[in-house]
Amino acid sequence: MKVAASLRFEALGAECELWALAPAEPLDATAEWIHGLHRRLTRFDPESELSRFNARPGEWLEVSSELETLLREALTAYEASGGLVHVGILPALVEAGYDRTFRELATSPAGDVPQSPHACLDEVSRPPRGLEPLPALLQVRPGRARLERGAAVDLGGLAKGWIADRAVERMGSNSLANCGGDLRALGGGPSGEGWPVAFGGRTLLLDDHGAATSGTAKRRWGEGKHHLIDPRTGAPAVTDLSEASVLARTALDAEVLAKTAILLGSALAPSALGGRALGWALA
Amino acid sequence: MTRAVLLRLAATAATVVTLLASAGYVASHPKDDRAPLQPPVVKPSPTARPAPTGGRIQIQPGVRATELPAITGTHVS
Repeated sequence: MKVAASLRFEALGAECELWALAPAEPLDATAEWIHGLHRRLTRFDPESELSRFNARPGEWLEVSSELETLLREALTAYEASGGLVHVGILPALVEAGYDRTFRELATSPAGDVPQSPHACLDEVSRPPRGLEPLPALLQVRPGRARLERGAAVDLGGLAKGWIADRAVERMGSNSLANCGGDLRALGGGPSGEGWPVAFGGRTLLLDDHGAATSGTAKRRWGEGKHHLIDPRTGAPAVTDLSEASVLARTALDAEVLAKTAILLGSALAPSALGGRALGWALA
Repeated sequence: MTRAVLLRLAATAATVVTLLASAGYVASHPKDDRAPLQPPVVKPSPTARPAPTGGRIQIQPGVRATELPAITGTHVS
């Protein structure tokens, strides 16, 4: 049994873990790369690249290659999920009360903080019941992107999954990255048979897999308020599932499928996941 | 008689004949509650378990479980 290098740190609003055997770069460097992406993609800093993009709807703006890639992945996720995974939920999320980091929300109720980081949304009208299709709100061209007036995006879970997938590419062929529960494993791990990962109450050996869990129980505030906005209603999702874990080929795919499953509920989730997921656990 | 009229009469006659024949068949073949079903119904064994068609947890055959302790896991964040 080989010993893997590991590193734990806080980023992306959650705990992250990196594991690698013979990493291609020091894990500190991979962590710093993740921190850098967090700074650019967080919606809670008005100076982040994402916030500055959200602040100028109606204009074609230059975007970095990473943001362009994520916006394109968001459009793909929207189509793949039948419209359920919709990054344009930010106005609805803010309207529901998630207008600051969850740590701040837990210590001061919505409305008490004098300056919300979402000043860019001050001019956004109250989100209509049900969101417009994402392709109608977001256009992406090489090096540029544009939001329709009134729209704003939150990359949230998609970013975590995508970053986990890129992190293992940086670390090497025998590595694992866990970004706030969205994880990707490559290679045989310490035993040579796969990385042992907790999933659905059991431990699985993952060697070229991604996993993600979506749920409503953790990021909650007030009655019926949580962070999973249903784009069909523009409000926190009403679902009989509290949690959906999905195993897929990549962390991003797993994230999209997990969110889709939660929004569909227990009756429809299995048929949506069958043939697309390598495994799932619904609770 | 014109050809069209003849064709209409023939079609009408075919319809009536079919109707009468169908009625005769139905009248001569009433349902028999005692007739066995084909194929016979297999009563499920009390120990049989339903095939996993969805359920709360499913892992594809190519993914292996292990007794090794997990080093990390997927979770809600």
